[in-house]
Amino acid sequence: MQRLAVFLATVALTGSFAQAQDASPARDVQQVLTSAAADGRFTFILFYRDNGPATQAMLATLQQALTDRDDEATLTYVDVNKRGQKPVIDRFGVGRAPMPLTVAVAPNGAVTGVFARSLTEARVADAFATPNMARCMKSMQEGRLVFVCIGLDDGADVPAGVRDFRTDPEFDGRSDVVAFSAYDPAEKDFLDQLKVDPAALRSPVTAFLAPPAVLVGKFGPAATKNEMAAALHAAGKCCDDPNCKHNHGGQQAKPATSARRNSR
Amino acid sequence: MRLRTIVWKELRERPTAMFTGVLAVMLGVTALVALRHVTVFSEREVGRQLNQLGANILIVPKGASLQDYYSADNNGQTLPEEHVDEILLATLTGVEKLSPKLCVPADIDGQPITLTGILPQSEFEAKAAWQTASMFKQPHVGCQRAHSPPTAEDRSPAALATQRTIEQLNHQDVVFGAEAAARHDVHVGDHVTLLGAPFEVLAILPETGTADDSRVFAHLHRVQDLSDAGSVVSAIEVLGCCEDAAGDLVPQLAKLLPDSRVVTISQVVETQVNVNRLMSGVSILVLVVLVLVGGASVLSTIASNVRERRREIGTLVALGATPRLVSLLFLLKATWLGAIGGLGGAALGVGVAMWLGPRWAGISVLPLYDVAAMAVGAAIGVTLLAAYWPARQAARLDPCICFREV
Repeated sequence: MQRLAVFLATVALTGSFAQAQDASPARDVQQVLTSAAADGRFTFILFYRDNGPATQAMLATLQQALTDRDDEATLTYVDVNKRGQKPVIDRFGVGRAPMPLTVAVAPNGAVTGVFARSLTEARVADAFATPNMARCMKSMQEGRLVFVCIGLDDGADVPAGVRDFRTDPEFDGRSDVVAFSAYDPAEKDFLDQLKVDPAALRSPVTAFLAPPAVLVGKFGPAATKNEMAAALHAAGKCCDDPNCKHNHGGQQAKPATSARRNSR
Repeated sequence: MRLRTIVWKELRERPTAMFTGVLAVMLGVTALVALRHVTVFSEREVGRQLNQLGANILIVPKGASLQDYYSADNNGQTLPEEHVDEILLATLTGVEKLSPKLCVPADIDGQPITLTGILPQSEFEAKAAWQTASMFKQPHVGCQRAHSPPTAEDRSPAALATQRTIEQLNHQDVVFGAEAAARHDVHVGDHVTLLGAPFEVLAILPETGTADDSRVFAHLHRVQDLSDAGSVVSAIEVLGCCEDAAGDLVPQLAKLLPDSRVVTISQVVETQVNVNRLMSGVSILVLVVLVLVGGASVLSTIASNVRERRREIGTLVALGATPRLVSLLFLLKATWLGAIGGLGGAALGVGVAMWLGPRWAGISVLPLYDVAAMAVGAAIGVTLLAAYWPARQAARLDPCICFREV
């Protein structure tokens, strides 16, 4: 009985995937992305090479996870074997990636999740980034620095230190500002990840982010440009290991590492 | 007649005895100097590799040989290229850059050459989003540094020699190793045909003293297409940010890619370190052999010389030569034997090491004057020590007994 149920479920899923496949080529993936962006919906693109069990399993998980999110997300498919799909494959750089692979794209074009071979509903849920988190991701994916200015009222001010930093010739044109209120309920997840508790907040705070997704530091309203620049340079050295290649003079400190390793 | 002239005449009168004594010393010194040179340069090479590549990890097929880090990607076996993306998607802490490579045989005007497909770092830009998407929710712990734009040094094709990666490489471009360029008389801007396809020489790398010098590098995907290899690579080099991170990454990568072999540079050079240790031990053994064989040979030469020259020694003493002078005579002769054998052996040893080093150990060897000087000093010391007892015996000879025997 159980085997029959599994068989029927597989047939049903295969059927739905076949229908989806039939439907998908007619609509260009770019059109799907544009349409979803206009509607403020996420797009989940399932890239696949064959219609094997792994693809079926990923499709089933996606469909299950998106069942109650019809108004938030669109699901589309890309057969990487089809020549016509090359632009979208190249755009996401998945031509030689392990398949099946799902890419989650926010309405603003930020990639908020990439899942290869297997997928869980929890990871699909994680891909729904908040609007401002998606803005930050988009900026960092373009290689830009991001100042997340969290204010105590609706109109979050950009601190003077941030303004000075952004006009500094060394950093000019390399950063974006994302400002929002600490009490915006839509940004609760983002604030949690930045470890900002609105209830405990007494003054505006600025989180400084750098690609790929490094929290360079959090600064109060009085922080200066120099403090932020120093924190950025410190984030570039990666860790306190004296032998780290980003740590100046690392080679001279060779014995320190050996001693540390020995003490492990 | 001066002491030096007497010794020189004595040596010339007995060329066979002199030759055997010098030969014994020379062979010992040759072996000692050659071994020491190869050991020293091999140790330097290991140290250089550890310094330069200490933070790097190699991912190769399970059965790949790992005798040399730089040749590990030329083993005839392959891995799926999708492993590169799997590593990127895993967003492991400490991974700085990835450099997949595919080696295929090719030829230029009928002369064989190794064509190595490499992936420029610009190809990974489209995948930067993968890192952001996955890492955004992780706290900044350990070696997860903020990326900075590539520097001018990163953008130079020569970065392939120094940093093991190249920022930009078009499908029509090739980069020549120094030795390959010299052998095929190729210059920047020249056009060459590889695997039936035209390429333009983008750059010629500076000499590195590694297998890379004899290679030609092209875009990985072009090499895959031209060689019909499919989406495979021979090895993936993971550039970690520091040695400790590399150590921590190995088990994670091994778990992620169970069909591959994941090793650090320390593991690759482990065999070489063991060989160096063995050669150091053998050097000591050769020194002992030099002392025993060379010393015994000189001892025998000088002792028989004293026996044969009893009458002359007696005459010298009767003419007023002091025991010190007689003793000096034989010690000076031993010094000459040691010096000639030592200098000849040192020169021969350096020559042997310079010839054998690149062939046997894959390293370039240059003369080490301190090693040669120490070997010559050791040879003179050994011969002096060996000649001391017969010289002392000669100094103690009674001229009356000498003449009575005659």
